Amino acid sequence: MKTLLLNWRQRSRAAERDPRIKWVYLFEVVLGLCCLTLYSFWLATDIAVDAPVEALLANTLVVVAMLFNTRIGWQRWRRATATNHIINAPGFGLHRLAEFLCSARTFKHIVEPVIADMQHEHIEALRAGRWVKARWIQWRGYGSFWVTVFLQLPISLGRLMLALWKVS
Amino acid sequence: MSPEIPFPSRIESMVLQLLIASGEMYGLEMVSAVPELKRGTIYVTLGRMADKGLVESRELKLEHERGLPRRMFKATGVGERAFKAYQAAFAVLDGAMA
Repeated sequence: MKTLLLNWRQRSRAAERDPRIKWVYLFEVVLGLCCLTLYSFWLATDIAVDAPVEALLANTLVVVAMLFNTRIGWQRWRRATATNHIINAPGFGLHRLAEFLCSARTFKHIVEPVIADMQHEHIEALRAGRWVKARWIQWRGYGSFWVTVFLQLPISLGRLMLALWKVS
Repeated sequence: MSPEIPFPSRIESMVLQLLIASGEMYGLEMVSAVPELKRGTIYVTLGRMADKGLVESRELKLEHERGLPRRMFKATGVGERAFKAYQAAFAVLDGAMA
């Protein structure tokens, strides 16, 4: 779920920003690769003599960090060039969670409409270019979802107890 | 009042009034129309009303729209009768108080 939210966050950032941002991402990738290449040449010719193990460890960490940054930049550039519209509306993680936890009736009639409303409102705000409002709608929607779940919980439990009592 | 018709609460009567006046609505529309209704509680209220038979719902999925389908609610015949009974009861109560 965390991965899903993270993916959505990155995607929505790409969707909300100016389309020209892809060139900034590309510049980051090229700069990262250039730095990495220069650093590798320097590393090969100037390994510390006094503390070779520590120097190697520190240099390896720097190279890993550079590679990581380059990978992030590359991913962002690919995402920004691939699409500039919404791939997945928020709340799909909650939707799956609710589908797993709630009964079919509660899910269809009570929980799903809350997520649907949030998604439609969010998409409308993004279409209008109001991404701050869209983010606010997203968090308010999450709040509404949990309020609904906690309010529905005693009703569902009561219904379950009644069914068990009738059976017994 | 017939015992088959459930008596709506104050919030339920507000929802019924709105649905009778407007026809079919989804939860967020109702919240926007009546400030006393809240986002977190509207669907729990509507679910309870559906259990009582006061409202009925259907999914609405438009072709061009992304995201989950919206659920549209409308008042049933029982709901309309319950709302009329609610109004009549309060009219009598107002008359008695005056």
